[in-house]
Parts: sequence; structure tokens; C-alpha cells
Amino acid sequence: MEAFLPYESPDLRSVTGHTIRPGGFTLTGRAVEVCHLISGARVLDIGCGLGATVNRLKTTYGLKALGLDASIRLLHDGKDIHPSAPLTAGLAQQLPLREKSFDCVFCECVMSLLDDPGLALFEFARILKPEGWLVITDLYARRPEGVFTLQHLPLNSCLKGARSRQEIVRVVEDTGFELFLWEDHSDLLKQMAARAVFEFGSMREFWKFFAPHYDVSDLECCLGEIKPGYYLLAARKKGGVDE
Amino acid sequence: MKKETIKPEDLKWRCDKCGLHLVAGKVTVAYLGNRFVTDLPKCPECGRVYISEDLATGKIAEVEQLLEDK
Repeated sequence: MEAFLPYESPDLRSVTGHTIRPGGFTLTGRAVEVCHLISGARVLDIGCGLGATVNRLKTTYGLKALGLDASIRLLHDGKDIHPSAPLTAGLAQQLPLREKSFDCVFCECVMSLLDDPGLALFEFARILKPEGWLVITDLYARRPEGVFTLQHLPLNSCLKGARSRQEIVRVVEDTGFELFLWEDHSDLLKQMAARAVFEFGSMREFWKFFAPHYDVSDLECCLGEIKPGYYLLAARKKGGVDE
Repeated sequence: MKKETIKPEDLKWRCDKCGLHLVAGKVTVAYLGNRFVTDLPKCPECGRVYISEDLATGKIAEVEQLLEDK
């Protein structure tokens, strides 16, 4: 039996839209501005899903964007929605791409889903040109004390991968990047949760739908402990750092 | 798994100002600097929105708590 992956569910898109993350393109646009990406720059979108961001980067900013995702289901659905977006199947930890071939890697609401973010970051560093940009947006634990409990929940969700700001920055810096910017955008997560309440009736109903075999009370308790937030991080590959 | 915010009886209300029956329409909800769009019963003429007691004490109360970060 296939594992149920909430991010593949069309019901989640009633809350998030086709970007399948908080904030839609808000932080995508912010990142393009921060990194001063110019038309023609080569960008890789990790966890591209339906291809919405790739399509946006191409049509709005004139970037040469390529999307990669491990979900064949989402890539298949994406072909109907964004037929001209170049998307390919692959794993973040083992990119089928040449070294030093991209100006920027986008990784929006994906890192917390990876078993080994450090391995993925080494791959991002490999395929980026020297001083190339890394953009990450994702959940994080505003109160790190509850992360241990959350990590051990039998839950198939990006929440399980939420870590503290300190830990996230450390792993980025340890894998060949220099931090440029960290911004908190937890308001976008709250707005997504508000949409979820209206779409599903309550947050409890939302969790019961996406974690049907799980005790929602335990999850709610954990969430109260970690106080999930949402961040934008931009970093540059250190010049002279190779694989 | 959408839970309908708009019940059939909500659309039996008329706008007092315009005299028209309410219709389901997109409404931008704003609170503490946060905004999101959802479907609610509204007057097709003046745009006035109807919030039932159920909605106010249920979903809207929960959203207020979420946005207040409690």
C-alpha cells in the first residue's frame, strides 16, 4: 500500500493553491529581488511539484528555470496545468545535473520533507556556480524545545522535519554556503492555517483528514510546544568551494 | 474535503439596503494585517457580507486565535 503523502493530495491545494506551500509566490518574488536574478539566469526549482514556480520564474522574470521532483504523481498532474514548464523526476540528494551549471537553486517548502537535508545541500552546492544563490523557504520551530518530541511522531508531514533557526543555519553553513539573509514570514503560515479552517471546518478537522491514523490531540500538543513558523533564507555558495 | 461555509439558509437573507437576496461570493477577510480570501454570503449589489452566529463563534473565532498567535 502506498504511503499517503499529504502534499500530493488535491484537497491540500484547496488551501494552498498550485504552489502547495504557504504564501504562494510571495516569497518567490522576494527571493528573486534579494538575489538580483536577471533574465536568462539558470535556476533549479527543487521539489517543483506541479511546476507552478517554474512557470512563474520563466514567464514573470524571464529566468531559465528547470523543475525537479521525486513525486511522479505531481509531475504527471503538472503536465496538464503547466504543459510548457520543463520538469523532470529526480531526488534532491542525487541530482542528475552537471556541476557548476546553475546560478540559483530554489527549495521552497521542501527541506523539512527530506530525510537528509545536509546531503541535499551538498548536492545544491555541487551544481551551483561559485557564489551561486541558494533560496530556502520552509517551516521552522520557533520554540526548539519541542522538536525532539515532534521528530518521533509517526507522522508523514513536513512538520516532522521542522527544526530550529540555529540548526537550519548551521547545516547550511556547514555545507559550503554563506548566509546572506534570514527573514521570518510566519504570517504566511498563519494565513494558510486560516484558509484551512475555512476549507475544512477547523484545524482539528484538517489534521484528522491529513493524519487519519494519528491522535490529533498529541499533534496539537506538539505544535503548541514548537510554535511552527515560516522562514525565507538566502545564502551564497562560498567562492572556491567545490564538491 | 471542503466544509461548506455557506449554508442554503444563509442565502435566504436579503440585504436591508438593497433588497436583494444574498449570493455566495469571494470575500477578502482581513485581521491584524493578515488577509485571505474565502466564499461567504454577500449582497451582489453593495457587497455587504453576512456572518452567521455559527460562523462567528466557530471558524472565525478559531482564525482569530490563530492570527493572534496564541
